[in-house]
Order: sequence, then structure tokens, then C-alpha cells
Amino acid sequence: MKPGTLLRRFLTPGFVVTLRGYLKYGCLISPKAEVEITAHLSIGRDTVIGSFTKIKATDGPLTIGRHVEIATGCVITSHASGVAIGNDCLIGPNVSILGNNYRYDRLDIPIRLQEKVSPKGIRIGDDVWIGAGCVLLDGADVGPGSILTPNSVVSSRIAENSIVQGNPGKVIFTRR
Amino acid sequence: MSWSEVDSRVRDVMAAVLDVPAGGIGNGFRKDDAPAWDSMNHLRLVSALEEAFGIKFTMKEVGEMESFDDVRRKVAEHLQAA
Repeated sequence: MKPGTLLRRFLTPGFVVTLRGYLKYGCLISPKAEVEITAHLSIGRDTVIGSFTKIKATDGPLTIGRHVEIATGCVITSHASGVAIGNDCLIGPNVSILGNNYRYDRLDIPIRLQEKVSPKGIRIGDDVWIGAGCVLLDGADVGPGSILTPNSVVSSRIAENSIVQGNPGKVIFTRR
Repeated sequence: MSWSEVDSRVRDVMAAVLDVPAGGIGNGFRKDDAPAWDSMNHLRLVSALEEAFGIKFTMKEVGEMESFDDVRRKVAEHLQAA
């Protein structure tokens, strides 16, 4: 990690990040959240980011739309292929949106030392409601109007207006 | 398909989704009688009925299904309309 990043991470008080977020994006970031405001990060107006949520956009583009509500305890990280969250989304507590992945094709090297990849990235459409504890992994592409029920795990394409449940997440109903 | 066959098939679908014996499902069987009949399994039940009978319920109908009688009536209405 670069010394500048390290210093910024440890020495920037939460209320400064809140103020920067409000002035730069017009969003509300809890002083108890940990948001790295980098060139990769973009947040829409009136988005709210709850306490103890960590948003890390150091490795790739991370776009959060307008009027998105992110509850407490979430983790959102992006990698090269990026993470894009649409407008008007609801993200429940303790949701993990993890845009990075590791190669694991070699047995002679620890996985942590193999290349970090994100071949597909993560896309979340407008008006998506993600229930508490859901996990979205590289390749997740959630269509607009969908609902992920609590603790669902998604890493593939979900058609619009779907209601998804389980691990792996399966469509149990389509809103109409 | 006769109405008794429709009844029997509705009963089988409900039994499979709600994890109750088909014999225990009859007139007067309501949501409260099946502990597994929660909001998620309600949606599973609707999807399973749609697949079994090749029909499509409206959201209003989905919200109105509170008992075996409701389910059977809604299915019959769709089959008659087809």
C-alpha cells in the first residue's frame, strides 16, 4: 500500500469524509462508515451510506447511482471490471458486493499470491432491493426491479423483476 | 382435465411446496394450518401452480390466495377462461 493511502486511511477523521462526500457527490456518508474517496469512485446525489459500511474503490471503477440506500455493515469492493449499482436501490445490512476474485489454478503458489482477477464485474440495475446478508460476487448482473431475499448468493445474470432466494440464488418468482 | 383431477393436482402441488401431507389438504385448509406457508413459500407455490397448469396469475390474485379453496377457485377460473 502506498504511504499516502495509508496516511489518508488512518488520519482522515470520519466527519471529513462525510463532508467531502456531501460536497463532491451530494450524498450522505455516515461518519462511522469507511469510504475511500478515490478517482474510481462515483456516487449519485441523495445516496445514503450507513455506519460501519466499507466502500473500497482503489482497484477499479465503482459507481453508485442516485437515491441509493446502503444500510449498516456492508462491504463493497471493486476490481478492474468494476462494480455498478443503479439508481433507487435498497441495500440491506451486512450485504457484501465483492468485485474481486482470485485465480486458483496453480497448486504450488498460495491462492493469495496468485493473480487477482474480475473477468466480469458486477452490475446491479435500477430499483433493486438486496436483502440483509446477501453476497454478490464477480459476474453478478441483477436486472432492474429485482429483489434478492436475505442471505442469497448471486454470481450470475438475474432477469429483471425477479425475486431470488438461496445459495446459489435462484429465481422463485417474477414480479408482474 | 376433470375438476377432481384439478383438485388433486392442486393438492399435490401445495403438499410438495408446503411440506404437508396431501391428505391433510382439503376444504377449509388455510395459511395458518401450514407453518411453512410464509411469504417466500407463497411465491414458490404460485410459481409451481403456474408451471403445473400453464397459467399466469395477476399480482392481485397472488395476494388473494389465503386457503386451498382460494387457490382451487383461482386455478379453475384460469382453466375455464382458457
